[in-house]
Amino acid sequence: MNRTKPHQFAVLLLGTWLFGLACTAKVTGSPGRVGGGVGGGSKADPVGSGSGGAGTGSNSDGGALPQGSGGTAVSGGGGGSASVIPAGLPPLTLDSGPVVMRRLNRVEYNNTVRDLLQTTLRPADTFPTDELSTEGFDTVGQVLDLSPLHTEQFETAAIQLVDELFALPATSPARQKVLVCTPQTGSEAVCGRQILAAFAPRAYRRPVTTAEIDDLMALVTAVNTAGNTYQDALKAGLEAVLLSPHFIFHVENDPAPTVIDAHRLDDFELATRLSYFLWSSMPDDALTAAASTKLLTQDSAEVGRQIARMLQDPKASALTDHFAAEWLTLQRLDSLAPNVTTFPAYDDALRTSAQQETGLFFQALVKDNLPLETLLLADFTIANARLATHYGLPAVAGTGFTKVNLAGTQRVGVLTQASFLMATSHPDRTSPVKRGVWVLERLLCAPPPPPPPNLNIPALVDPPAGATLRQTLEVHRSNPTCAGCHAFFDPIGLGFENYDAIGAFRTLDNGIKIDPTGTLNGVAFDGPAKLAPVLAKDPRFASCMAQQLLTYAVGRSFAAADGKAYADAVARNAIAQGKGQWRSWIETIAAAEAFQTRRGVAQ
Amino acid sequence: MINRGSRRRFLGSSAAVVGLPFFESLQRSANAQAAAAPMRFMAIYVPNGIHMPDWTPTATGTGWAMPYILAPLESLRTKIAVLSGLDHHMTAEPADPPGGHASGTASFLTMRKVNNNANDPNRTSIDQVIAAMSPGVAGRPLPSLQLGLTVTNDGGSDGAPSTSFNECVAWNKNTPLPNTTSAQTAFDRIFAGFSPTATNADAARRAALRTSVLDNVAKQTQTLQGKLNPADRIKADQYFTSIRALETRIQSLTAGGGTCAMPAKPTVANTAPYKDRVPVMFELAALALQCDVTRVMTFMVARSTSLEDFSFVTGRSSAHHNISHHQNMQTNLDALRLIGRWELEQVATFLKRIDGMIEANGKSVLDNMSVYFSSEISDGNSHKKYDMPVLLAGGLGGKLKMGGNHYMYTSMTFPRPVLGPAGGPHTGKVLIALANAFGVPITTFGDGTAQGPLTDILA
Repeated sequence: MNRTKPHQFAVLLLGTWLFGLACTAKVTGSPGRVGGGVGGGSKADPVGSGSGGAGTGSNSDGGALPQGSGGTAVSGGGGGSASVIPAGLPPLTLDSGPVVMRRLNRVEYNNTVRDLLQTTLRPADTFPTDELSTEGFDTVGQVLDLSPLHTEQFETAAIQLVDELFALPATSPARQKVLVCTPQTGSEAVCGRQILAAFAPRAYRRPVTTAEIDDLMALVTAVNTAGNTYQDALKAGLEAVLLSPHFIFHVENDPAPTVIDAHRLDDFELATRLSYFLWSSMPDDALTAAASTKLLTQDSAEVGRQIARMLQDPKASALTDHFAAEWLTLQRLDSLAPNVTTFPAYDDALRTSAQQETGLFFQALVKDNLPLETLLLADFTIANARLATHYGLPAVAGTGFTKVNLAGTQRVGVLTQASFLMATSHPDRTSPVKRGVWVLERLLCAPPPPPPPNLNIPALVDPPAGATLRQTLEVHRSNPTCAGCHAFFDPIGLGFENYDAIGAFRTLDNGIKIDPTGTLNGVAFDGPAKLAPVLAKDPRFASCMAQQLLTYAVGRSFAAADGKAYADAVARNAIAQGKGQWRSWIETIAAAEAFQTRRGVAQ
Repeated sequence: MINRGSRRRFLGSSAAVVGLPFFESLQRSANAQAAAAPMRFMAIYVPNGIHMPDWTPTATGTGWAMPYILAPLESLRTKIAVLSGLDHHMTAEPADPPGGHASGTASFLTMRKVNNNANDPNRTSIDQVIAAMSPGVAGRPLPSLQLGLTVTNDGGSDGAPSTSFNECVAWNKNTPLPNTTSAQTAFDRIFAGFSPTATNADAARRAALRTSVLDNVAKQTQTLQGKLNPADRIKADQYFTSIRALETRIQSLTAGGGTCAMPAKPTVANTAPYKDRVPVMFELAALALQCDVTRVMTFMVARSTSLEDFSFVTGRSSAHHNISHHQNMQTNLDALRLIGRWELEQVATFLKRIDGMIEANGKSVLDNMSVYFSSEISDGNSHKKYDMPVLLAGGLGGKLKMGGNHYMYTSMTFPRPVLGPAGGPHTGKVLIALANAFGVPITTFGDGTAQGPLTDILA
């Protein structure tokens, strides 16, 4: 506290107040639907109230995370400050840098034009691939750049979208939603202005000023005067809206752009953050209405109510298709190509089924408001016939996916799902290294140290003939140069050796019985079923969940020590308020100061 | 204007539509080819290094025996030069980020360290320097073109601030210039000015209309810029700059030049096997040069740390990045040798293609241009950025000395090891020499550690 600079007091006070708000929102925002739906049965939650370290704490004693987590949580990277934060409250200052104004990424662009124009076109599919930040998300403004190629593609898309709109029949609701009137000869501008005044606010996700409409009308008039039809002129006006920086970027206004004190977002900016967090798209009419009446910032329960409503909407699948896909690296499976000679059982159907399984599984966790650790400990999955065969489960009838009980099988939670097991394998064999690194990076936010600067992988002593991969890696790790890093991930990754490169269960490697033992945090485990509870109890797991959600939702990195400390506090809060159930994670993120405020940047 | 009209008439009346990659129709119009041949620059990037023992010629000067990987270039021997022992120096060693691939890729044409800086205002690559400053390359429908191939990868950034540092080699200040990776999109961009049906008046009206819209958007962006904090303004500035670039492109879309017919759009899917997509993208690159749509190009055969499975040449599962960490195991070294050979076969096919395109001065497109080929590292096992594999092709109309020369700047005994000695001249000196040959009078480049051109290659 005594390190707090004077200008940070505003942040401090604001933070305290906002967190009061968060608590209130939480209480009223719980509709008590826990336990309903496909995954809500107690069988699906082997954690119960005792086995997991998380999910049992009361809301004030800090027991939600093992004591002292702040000091021990962050491997090799600061983290000490977390231990001084009062339980359940976030740290009151943030210094990981500002949110940088970001352009719509490809997912957001496609979803936004879908909701703005009711189009089925997906123009962003041909845009350049979005930059992923170090954390693996495409929502981080700092690294989302804008090249001439982007602008060229934006222009092509704007023309294509507007042309499509005007080609719709006059009775089409999609057309009528935008072209709210028909220009009358001699007084075309009356209708032209009406159309733009209705369209621009939706596209900019905020009210527009008269001056802004005047500028667009000046363009329409100029194009019309230059010898184009009024329709072409109006098209030009609509294209300008779709190319406006207020459409292309998430613009958030800083009243004092070079002052670094945090200030609250206005209602429309907050509505926009919320809708891109949950939907990867623009706010709908109801959310916009709430913003118009300032309910979002003035009624402490409104954000919670909106979240409850928005999660019911099919658009909330974006949390799975966008957030979870990036968090759990499901997109890696897009370009995966296991060697079919080594794995004759592999085909495209297995790859896409595995991708869908994890998506549907994640969706069930959120929909049924299950605790975070169910991700690791679930005794159910959502499988189709292909996966049931692959996993050796009782047959699943039909072509669809259904909830399958895993009790008594070799499977538990996400870490025995084929998506993870495949995404972290070589084409012809497993990679304990990649699996270990994945667990460290994606679940614990504790990436291993980088390779040594003078890395030159030495010629290896041949492992014994017919060795298992474990034995080969042990030879590798016996070299001190290699051990520096491999000691971090090998002991985790080797615990998955019973699952081959396409996720099938096996007991032999190279003809030798597999030894699936490993260690995490010095705790020995035997296979994923035993690793999962160890991971679930690791204080870094909950903290990492908060860090991943914050990075995605706020759009900036929280990987520095102070960002991690903030995430740790958010995690405590989420657990304290909702036993770590999914809804409370989302509500806590949305109520967090980092989500509700913005700050300028010193000149 | 005359060019525009004549081309459009040609296209409107008799364009023979021939599918890729069989397009073979160079239509020269008398006034399009000025006496001075066009100067063009292209950089080709391959990921994960090169198996150097099968790359480095065993003798300097000319007449050396073609190493296995370079052998596909035999028939072009007099039009290439091999530079051995070059060193990225301080640009990326010690590497930052330490993974080595992102640092090598981001510095490939920029000679700037990554240094965890996502917004380095000076990270301009040499191709963009040439595009902006060489009088000979301006005025084309595309000021520059970035082509690449999507590949199997783990989506990671190798420790860099973002995946741009793995996926882009062309940079304009703080803006990475992403590759066009779809053959269809590349085709649309290259042939955007080709409209068989539009009249001149139509085209002019369309251009004016688009420019009006962009002017309006540029003004909106300017207004916004004034309200933003310095970090946000970087992004708005990028947008403003690219809007202006697009306006320029619209104006020069129908600029005259190497007139050619529009072939049929390629049909290869973005999900087609890598080995089938690479030749199509190289063919599109050749067409873009032939049609004089652009004179500055980069071509990434794959992104850094590519995991593309080269079993189609090695006969066994060979995820590129994984086996590039060869651990001196013979099976891996054998695979890398075959992969390097395949990559150079693709490059050789492309170079021969453009060497068959004869320009007004009687020389080929290749003769009149300069092609720079390298990787982000040398030996993949160590990520080292000395002993780099550097190949030049095309003499830039006589301004560069090729002649099948092999320059060796470090002391090497043969058979050579997978990683040769450090201590050779800075790779940046090659880029300075190339820029000089293009009429750009720079004496240093990038982070300033490279001083003066590598004079050996200047005629």
